[in-house]
Parts: sequence; structure tokens; C-alpha cells
Amino acid sequence: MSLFKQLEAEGLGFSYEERDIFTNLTFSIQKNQSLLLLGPSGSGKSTLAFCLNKLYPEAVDGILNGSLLFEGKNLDDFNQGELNQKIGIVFQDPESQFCMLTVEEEVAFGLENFNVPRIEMEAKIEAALAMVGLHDEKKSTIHTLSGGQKQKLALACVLALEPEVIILDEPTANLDPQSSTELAETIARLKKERPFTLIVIEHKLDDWVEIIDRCLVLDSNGMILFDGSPRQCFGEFAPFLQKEGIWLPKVVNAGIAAKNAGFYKGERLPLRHHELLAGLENSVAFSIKNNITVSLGEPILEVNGLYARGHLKNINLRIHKGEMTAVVGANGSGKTTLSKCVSGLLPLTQGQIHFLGMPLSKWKEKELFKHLGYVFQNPEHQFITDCVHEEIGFGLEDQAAIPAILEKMGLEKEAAAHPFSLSQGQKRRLSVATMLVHEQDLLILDEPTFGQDANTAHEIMEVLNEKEGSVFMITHDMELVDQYADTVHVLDKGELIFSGTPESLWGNLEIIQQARLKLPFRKRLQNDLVRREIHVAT
Amino acid sequence: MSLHEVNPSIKAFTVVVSILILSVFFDPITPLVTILWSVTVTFLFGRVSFKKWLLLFTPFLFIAVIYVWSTMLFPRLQVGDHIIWQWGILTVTAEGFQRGLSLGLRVLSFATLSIMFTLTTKPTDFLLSLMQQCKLPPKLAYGIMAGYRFLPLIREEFLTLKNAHRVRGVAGARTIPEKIQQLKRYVIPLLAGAIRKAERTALAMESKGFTGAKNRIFYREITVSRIDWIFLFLMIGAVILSAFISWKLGYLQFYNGEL
Repeated sequence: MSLFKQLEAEGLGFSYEERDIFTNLTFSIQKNQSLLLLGPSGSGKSTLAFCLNKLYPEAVDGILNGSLLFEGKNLDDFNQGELNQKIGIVFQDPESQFCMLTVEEEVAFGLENFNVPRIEMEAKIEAALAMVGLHDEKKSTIHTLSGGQKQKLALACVLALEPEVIILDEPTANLDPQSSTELAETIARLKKERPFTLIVIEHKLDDWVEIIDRCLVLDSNGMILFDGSPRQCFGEFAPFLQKEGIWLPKVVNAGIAAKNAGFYKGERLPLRHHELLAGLENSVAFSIKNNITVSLGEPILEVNGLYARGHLKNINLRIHKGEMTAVVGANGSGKTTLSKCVSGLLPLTQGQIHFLGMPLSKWKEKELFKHLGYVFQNPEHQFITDCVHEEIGFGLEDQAAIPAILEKMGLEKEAAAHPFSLSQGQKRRLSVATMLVHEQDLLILDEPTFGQDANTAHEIMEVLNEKEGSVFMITHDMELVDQYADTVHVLDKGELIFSGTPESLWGNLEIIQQARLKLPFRKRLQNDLVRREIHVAT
Repeated sequence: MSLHEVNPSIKAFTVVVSILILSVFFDPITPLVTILWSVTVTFLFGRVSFKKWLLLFTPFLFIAVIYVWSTMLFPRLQVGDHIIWQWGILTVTAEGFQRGLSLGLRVLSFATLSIMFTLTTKPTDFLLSLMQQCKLPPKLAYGIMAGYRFLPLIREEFLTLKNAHRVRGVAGARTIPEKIQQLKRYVIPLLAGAIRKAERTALAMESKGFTGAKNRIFYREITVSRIDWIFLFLMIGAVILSAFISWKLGYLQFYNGEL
């Protein structure tokens, strides 16, 4: 690897609406390096990424201080659009990053912007689509693609321009577990075929650990907390990162847990799977989940022969009293549709749902939503008042309960704030709080930990776990399922293909493959340990 | 030959010119012949599904019928009008009937021409053609294209919002102040969501090097060929021919502020 500095930032700061997003950042990125950009939510990771390819400050009324050089040339000296061919970016949201209708037109859009001669376009489009495995979808319209395919298309659009730097801004946030892994694998393969500089912003780190060779960590004030090798970052600095609410690779988390429990004898914290395995003593004790089998109460909700939206087919399930239920499945498998049917928000084409012994259709809406809560994926959708205090108090008989719930969710200081002015994590906590306060018998949640930093995600799950009533949540996160769920339902193309305990799901690899799931970390580790034991024994 | 392959800009131009010519005349025969012609062309060369066509046509038919009725039953009486039927305050005259019919058919002739265009033109093709043939600035054209993709998304967002509020126990608004309050609750998150999405899309477009520069090389070239000109002259010729037929039959009248 050449040590040529491709990107150089000195004293870089960015402020927007009189607020400093980040200040005084000095770092450089070498050609063909793979950098992981970490930080708690709101620390300015995306903003920094957008500054690196000159999208900011033009796109917003922000002020950029300090100097930023690309290959020794100041960013200001590049013409508008010129730099975008050299530095490509894949965004988080697969829905809002396209402007054309079909796959080939979208890839062509970038080529057109740089006036690539028409005779060369066809070949470039084909090559880019082939690189990400979307060759057969060339003529498809974009909205028929799955989330994973859309992110691959976004990558193909970038690749077609043959950039020198590729930035990935949480590319897997909206993807199911297998699509996430596939995307990381595609990147790893491409990097071998044709070197480029890679800057990744991610929460789910395990798929990326093998690819990256450097970490840059921002703290919540937008200052550099750490800059160095992944080994050092996730080894010595792991406790600091944990404190900031930054997600760690699961291997590291497991390593820390094992070390605290006295099982781990390795010299430094593990970064790779085999290192963890090597360092573990008394391995079996560690990987067994101390799960007291919960005896389920009586069913509070029963779904019989449910058909809906021409998508859900013959769904039968029970939700019991006090049960924590998880619904998993690939993008578009019908998870949200099911949860909306269960909460009476969508009409059924066929079948019945009984809630607390009465058909759902017989419930008066006002009564129903006193017993059943629903937390939507986007917290903003549920806010109806102008301040946090009122928001929680809305429709509440016992107003005295407000301070307690504010404190529980860490929102005491924001009681007078407008809900829309909160940070992402606070918004999510507030939306959960507005439902929790009513102590419903059943609470339905659509990806409660989506886009949250590690601390918030953990807090929300703990609160839900302690809660009295039943919980029915949609998630892509197998670790959550493994840690918290009593029962897991697996949907695939509108059909319920599995219902049972998480443990029994992990034993059914066929279902896991079919529904594009993944084994949770604990289970993978356990399998490896068993394999090692067998190996030792023979 | 297919209508789908006709250059969208020329197709649009043809429709506009035809409508302009039609609006010069005010008689029943000219629009009637034009309607017959444009419907024939739409179905012969457009491979258009009849159901879709009818769906778009029905509202216009409804408006036309109302026009005919009201003009027929409540005519402006002039000396020398021939009264066909009279009952109380309702008077039907031959002149009034003809005026009503002219007006109704006129609406329908505009409608059939526009529907012919709408059902045989993809929005993307039209915008590409506007950029390539009419020099529409790419900034505007791609903006419209992105906005077009947004419409279904915003509808979806609105439905989700409604559901989310139902769950919070906000009952349906009944009084006017309640309705205003509800509107306020919907508008803020909807706007916030739409602006955020628009910003993201704009950013994504810029990140692919889009600057709005006018000299672009287009991957899909929308061309103008002889067929397009033939279409233009055939359509406009047909409208003029309609007027000629009407003149031969003795109906032709210039529009003279009748309504």
C-alpha cells in the first residue's frame, strides 16, 4: 500500500444553524485504505462524509472551517460536480436515493452527468451491474427491487463512475441480516478486484471487521476520540466506546463479557471469532443462555386463518399474557402488514382475530387503543402535541404518572421541549414512553431499536422487558430475538413458516436460510465451541 | 406504427394545436368528427386498454352531459328562436339545443385528444423529449421526475400518519376548530417528512455529479423521425377536415362568445 495521502483534513469544523456539528478535526486518509467511521448518533459522521465529497456545505447553509484537500488540491478548487466522479457515496435510505424509474436509467444517470459518450455507456452499465450481481435486473423498474437489491444498485451507480473513494453511509440500516452480510461481502470482493479507498459508517460491525484497517471515532461533541488500528480501537479503547454508546462488534462485546466473568484468558480483547475461541476457557458455561423457561400465561390475542392485502396467507398465532414475541423475516415478507392487522389498523380479507376474548372488529376504537399500543417505526408520526410533557400526558387519566415515566426514559430535562426538536434517540424514547404510560395489555413495536445508538437500544429493550403486558415487536436484529424474545414468528412471502422459541429456531437452519435470517452471535459461538470440542476429542 | 413511438414533444404539440384549432369553431359537427377520428386512432395505433380509457373518459362525459342539460334547459332566449318544447319555466329551443351539444362535444373532443396523449406517453419519455427537443433545463426536468416518484410515497406516509394518530386515541375531528387542529397535526410531520426525503434525493443526485448543466449526453436518445411529422400533419389535417365537413353540411360557425 502506498502511503500517499489522498484526503487530508486540517482543523476541519462544520457548523449549521449556529451549532457546531464537529470541530477541529485533523486526520488524513491514505489511498486504498479502508476506514471505519464511528460515533454515537448525532456526532456528525454523515455530515463529515458529505463534507468529504463537497456535497456539504453547498447543500445546506452550513459553514465549513479549516482545510480539506483531495490529492493535494483544495476542495474549493474543484468544479461543481467534478469531485463526485472521484468520490462516490451510498446512502442509508434505499427509497430516496434514486431519481429514475428503471435500473439501467439510474446507472446511466451518473454517466450522463459526466458526459460519457453514448457508445461507451451500455458497456459500463453492464459491467457495473455485473459487479454487484444485478445483471438480470437491468430492465427492471426500481420499485420492484428488494431493499438489498436497491443498495446494490446504489453501489453499482457509484461503481460505474470508477471512483477512487467510496463512502458507505450506514448502507445496511434498512436491510435484513442476510442482505447486510451479502453487501459487505460484495464490497470485500470488489476491493480485491479493483482497489479503492473505502470509508464506512456502520452500526452492525461484525461483517466489516475483516475489511477495515483503520478506525476513526468521533465523540458526541464531534471531536476525535480515537484514530488508529481496529485492534487498538476495539481492544484498549472498547470501554470508552461503550460509554459513548457506540456499537461494538459482537466478538468484542462477548470478549468483554467473558473477561468480566473470568472466562476469557486472552492477553488482549479478541477482534476475530477464532481469537475469542482461543481465549475462552470453560467455554460451554459462557455460551449457554441462562434462560428460565417462562411458562406462558393464557392467550390474550388469537389469530385464526388470517388473510390480508392479498399478501398474508393463512396466518395462525397466539400471543400470551406477559409474552415477549418477535416477528422476523426478510424485507417485504409481510411483518408490518401482520402487525397492522393484529392492531386493527388494516382490515382482514379473511379470518378472525380475538383480543381479550372479543373479536377485534367488535372493539370500539377508543377502548381498543387503551388496551393495545402501537409504536410506529418513525416516532415523528405519533407526536400530536407541542411539548414532551403534554405528549406523555395526552389522554392520560392519572397525570401524576408523567414525571416517573419521564425519568425512566431519561427525558426529564426535555419535558418542555417540542417533540420534533429532540434528538433521534430521544424521539424514539418519547414515542415508546407515550405508549408505555398507558400500561396496555399488548404493545406492538415496529423495529424499536432502528437507528438507535447502543445505549438507547439497550435501555428501550430493558424497559420493554420489565414491562407487565405482552410485547409484539418486528425486528431484523437476531441478537434482540435471542436475548429477549420468548417466542419468535418467522414470516416468508406472507406465510408464517415458523413459530416457537428462539432456541428451537436456531436449530432449524432450513428456516433460517429460507427467511434470510442469521444465527445470533451467541449461537454461532456455541456451534464453534462444540466443533472445537469434537475436534479435541478426536 | 404505434402511438407510443411517436416523439412525445411532437405528440404534445399536435394535441395543443388541434385543441387551439377546435376552439376557433363552435358547432356540433367539427368536434364530433374529431372525436371519432381521435378515438379511432387511439385504439388502432395506441394498444390502449378500453377500461383505462373509459376510466379517464367518464369524468369528462359527466361534465359534458351536465353542460348539455343546463344549456338546453336554460337557454338565452333570442328573438326568432325555434321553440321545441315548453313546460313552466323550462324552454327548449333548437338553437339552445345546438349550443348545448356544441359545448358538450367540444369538451369531449379536448378530452379524447388529451387522453390519447396521456395513455400513450410515459412521463419519463416526455421529460426526456422535452429536454432533448425543447431544451427544457435538466434541473427542472429531473426535479419533476423525482417529484413524480414522490407522490405515492407521500400518500403512504399520510395513511401511516392517520393510523399513528388513531392509536394515540385522537378521535376523528368533527367541529371546525378540531379539524383545523387536526390539519396542523398532519401538516407538520408530513412536510417534515417530505422535505427530508426531497433533501435526501437532491443530495443523492448531486452525489452522482448532477449539476443541472445543459449539455448532457443522454443514454436514451429520443429522436424525431418522418413518422412524427406524418402524425402531426394527419392529426391537424383531420381537425381541419372536420371543420370542412361541418362547413359542407352547413353547420360551421366561428366561436363568438356564446358562453
